[in-house]
Amino acid sequence: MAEPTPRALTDAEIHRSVAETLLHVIVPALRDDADWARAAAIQLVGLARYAATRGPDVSEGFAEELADVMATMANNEIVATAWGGDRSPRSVMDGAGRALALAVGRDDEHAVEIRSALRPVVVRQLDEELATTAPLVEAFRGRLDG
Amino acid sequence: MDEAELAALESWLQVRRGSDAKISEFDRMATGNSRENWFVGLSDGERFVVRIEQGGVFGTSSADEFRMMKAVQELGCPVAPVRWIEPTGELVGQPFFVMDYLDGVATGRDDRSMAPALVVDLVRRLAELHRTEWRTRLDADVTAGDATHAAIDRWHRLYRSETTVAIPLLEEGAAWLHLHAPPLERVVIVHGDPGPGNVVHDGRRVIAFTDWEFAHLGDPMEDWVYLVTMRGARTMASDEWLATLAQVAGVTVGADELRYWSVFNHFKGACANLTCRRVFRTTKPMPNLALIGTALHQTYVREVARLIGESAREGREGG
Repeated sequence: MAEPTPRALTDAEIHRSVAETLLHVIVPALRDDADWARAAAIQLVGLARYAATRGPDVSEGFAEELADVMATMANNEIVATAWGGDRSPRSVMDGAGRALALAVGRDDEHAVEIRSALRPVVVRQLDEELATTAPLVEAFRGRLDG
Repeated sequence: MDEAELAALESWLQVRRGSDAKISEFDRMATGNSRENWFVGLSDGERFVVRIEQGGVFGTSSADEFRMMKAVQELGCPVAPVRWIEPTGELVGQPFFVMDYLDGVATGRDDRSMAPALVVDLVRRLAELHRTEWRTRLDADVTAGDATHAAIDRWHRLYRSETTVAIPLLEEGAAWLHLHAPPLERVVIVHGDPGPGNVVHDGRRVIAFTDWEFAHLGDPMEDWVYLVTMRGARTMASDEWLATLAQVAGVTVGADELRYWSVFNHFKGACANLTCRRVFRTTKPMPNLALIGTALHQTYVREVARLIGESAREGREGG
């Protein structure tokens, strides 16, 4: 049996409407010399499309993953110095940052472990965020796909 | 700006100029993310640009920018003459200053093309800025030994003031920059954002450098590498830029300097861009600020990480 049609519009539907209206109604109606308004409208299209397609906030999940990684590095003296084991997102991100910073300029096994086990996770998490926000860079520059 | 603010600005200009000329034209100029730039035409034919802050975007202030522009103007560098400043924000909701409007070509906001002659003149003029004897016009206690470290700390402090949660790759970036900071022979005036898009020109010659909000005292390599790898990256290839710098300004940029200042400039950009997220959430919900504060910020953090990772793989310990 088909899902019942929702009574209310979803946020994604509204965001798509904003983007389409801006792109196909408002932008073509702007004066040729309205450069700033055109740039702002295209940026808003990018922002509305992002709002329509992005997933839930990943901050807590990322912090949990980093806490798990650091928890496995119990013998690492840098982690022991940088992080007290508090798994709140703020403490975890502080600890991860401190650990990466303390490893800079060191070549011992503890620093190497930070760079080989912790750092790649931090970079991968950023890449996952960038995968969803990258179209915003194009919108900022006045370019849109489609 | 609403009608009441526009009327207040008109009165303010009349007092400053000792004239009863009215505002006859008032148009938003299609440049500037850190500031709103408004073209103001007056009934007596005078033309100005009103440059208005936007809630602390990039952690820079009108007062500092005004002071630096006034100093470089007195030192003979190409800049729009600044006239008056309103630093309190009481008149139009944000601090602003007024400068002369200059005839010339201001390249489009995303156009990075430049004629070869203009490239040469830009490099020559930037080198002249770096050579100025700034101590005759600016009071500062910055030394060659601490200028770069002070700049790293400035941007690090700014990012930490914008978020309660650390960004691990920026913590690593700050540590890496402190560790590898190159020695500096002479502190100079650094524009901080030079290149195509931030210059008014006549097609062949620079009339004025614009957008001085990042100007400070520091290492000239910050400007050169920014020009080559960031603002001028789509103007021509890095090798062409480096050859031009050597030929026109006698500036040699080594591979280590290129990497160091690329890390620095992306670190600076990542920290500065984060301010836009706060301004978007609080005083100015414009889409450009949302985009700079999220996607552009993340792109810069990623570049810091890439460059430091590349350095580590090439055998420099700890990145």
